[in-house]
Amino acid sequence: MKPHPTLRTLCCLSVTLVGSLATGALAQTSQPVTATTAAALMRASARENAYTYLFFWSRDDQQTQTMRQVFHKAVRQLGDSVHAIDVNIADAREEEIVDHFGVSRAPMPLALAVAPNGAVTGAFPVRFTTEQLAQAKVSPATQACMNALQHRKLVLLAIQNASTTDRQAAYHGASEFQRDIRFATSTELVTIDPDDPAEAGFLRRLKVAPQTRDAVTIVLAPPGTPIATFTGAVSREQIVEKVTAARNSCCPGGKCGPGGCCPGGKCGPEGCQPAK
Amino acid sequence: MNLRTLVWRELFERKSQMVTVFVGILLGITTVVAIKTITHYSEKAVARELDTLGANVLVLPKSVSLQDYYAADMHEQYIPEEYVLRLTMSNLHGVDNLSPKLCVPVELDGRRYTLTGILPKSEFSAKAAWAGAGIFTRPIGCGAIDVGDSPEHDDKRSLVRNRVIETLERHETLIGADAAQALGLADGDSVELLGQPFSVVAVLPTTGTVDDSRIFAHLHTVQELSEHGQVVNCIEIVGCCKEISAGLVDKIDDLLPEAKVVTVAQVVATQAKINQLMERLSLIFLAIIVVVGGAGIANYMYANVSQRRREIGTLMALGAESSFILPLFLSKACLLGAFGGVAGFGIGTILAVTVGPKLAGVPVFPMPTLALWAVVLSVGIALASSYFPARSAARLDPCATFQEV
Repeated sequence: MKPHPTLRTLCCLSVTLVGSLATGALAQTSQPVTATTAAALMRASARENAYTYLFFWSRDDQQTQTMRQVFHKAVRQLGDSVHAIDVNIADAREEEIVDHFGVSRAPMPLALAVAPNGAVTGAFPVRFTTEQLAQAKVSPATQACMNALQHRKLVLLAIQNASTTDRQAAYHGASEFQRDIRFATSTELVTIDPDDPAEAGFLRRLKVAPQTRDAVTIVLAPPGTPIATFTGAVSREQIVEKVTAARNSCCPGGKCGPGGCCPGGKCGPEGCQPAK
Repeated sequence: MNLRTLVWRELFERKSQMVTVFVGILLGITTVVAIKTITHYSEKAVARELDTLGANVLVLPKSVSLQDYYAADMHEQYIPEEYVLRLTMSNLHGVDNLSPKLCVPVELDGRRYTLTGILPKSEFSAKAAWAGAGIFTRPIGCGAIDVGDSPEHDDKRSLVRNRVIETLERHETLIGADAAQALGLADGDSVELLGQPFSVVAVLPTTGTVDDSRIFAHLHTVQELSEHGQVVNCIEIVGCCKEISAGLVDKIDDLLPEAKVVTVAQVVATQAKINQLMERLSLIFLAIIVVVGGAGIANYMYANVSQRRREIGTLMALGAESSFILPLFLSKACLLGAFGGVAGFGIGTILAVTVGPKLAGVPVFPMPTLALWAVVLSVGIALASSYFPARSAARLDPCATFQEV
């Protein structure tokens, strides 16, 4: 038996109301939530597609008090899309979240910005500003990339939409690479619409012109290093070649250093020399 | 009575004088051999350190001198472990790898070893991607690109070259080559350290550095067992050379003002200066041997010739040629020099091998090539200083010596 439409609407409204009241308690942006744990708050935030800002502390000293004020001021400015909580790392109830982020030995106080997908989009130990905390709220594509990178995955960033050239060829190459048995489990494919204004800042960081007319494919390696950029069509082989070259490269960003900087070979005046 | 018997008897005729000259040669050769041996191995260690040390920046406690780093980090000065995460989560460009270390002494089978706590990369590497969207503008570092390989392929032996490994369980240990040999340990064995059992996951390849006699375990386990708390002795950093020249060290200094931040180039320069000083010292001692030892031998020989004028004259009157007298005294000098050289090499080598590791912080081994050098040097000095007294003895006029009677 189907419920009456009015009854169904009322039920939905009441559920929403109860939900709002419940999450409203969690979403006190200026006051630390004491009724629940940080882990519970994070789960609630994820359901609401909201950010969670965590303020970890161990000793309630002057530095902690000052930074706590900065933290809550920043959270107030960020509005309802952010839930915040103070976490005393010595509190046994917070063990789950402290272990999850592995911050028991981190410098304190520590502010973490956690995206709805679980990615840490900003970590600020000891001293930070409201501006830094505000900048830790990033675009959806940035969140997706950071989440993959924090799980030590390669990210294939397909920047394209219906109007970009070579869209299908570029996407096909990226998809083929993702299916490659050598990289399948450690690769994440993220698509960005270059016309999306929310992603303009991220694209500029990647040195890609927003609203580009050509499909662009970027390969990002942990922790966030762009190792290859392809404009237009790209094949699986081209991506594999670049990834392999990056893996075996010697000092791509600088001169040879002693040891360590030349995997499988030996650093010489001309760069990496193959090991004899 | 032949020449050999004469030389032998002559050698022991005035024992106190002979012993004085012998001790002079012995001390000189001992000092030079000891210094040369220690310097040689110290230089080799620096060269090897440069080649094997992935790290090129060091974070040390403020009060620690650079030499302490070479003394296997057993300086008992500490910095908080949290510095590792400060560095990891910072926006600094060019920090490729971090390797915090805590060294504590352990005794196994009556011998003292250094237990070094290391932090596997898995404990902090993910936090490098926490630094916000700014990470996407970082330059590609000096090291290998992390392409998300499975840690199953983690080769623990890479620790000796890369200074860091991907994973290490709390109950696992890595053993340096010399320590493994001395303790008879191999992969898969068990060993008890500070009262807790550990399984040996790998015996490290020989490096020729202090690492060979170290035992490595998880930093947090070492901290707990040694009751040191959350501290480390030093943090080795693999920094991108390009970024180091662009001021990375100053930036780390700003980030960690309570610590001392130095580049390996500075450490090496300091060590090279010490080696140069040792080299100069050995030259000074060499000069002292030549001048004082030589003068002592010459004086001893002149006195000897003067006291033996009558005997020399008698020998010559009986038909002994100058060609018999000259080798008589030169052979005596030669014997003194040879004994002094051999004994000096022996004592100098023992001194270097026992005291050297404490002084220079590197393993020191005997250098057989120095034996020849020591004997040639001491014999050469003895012969050169004795030549003129011996020649004057060989040129004595027997008539003149009898007139003096």
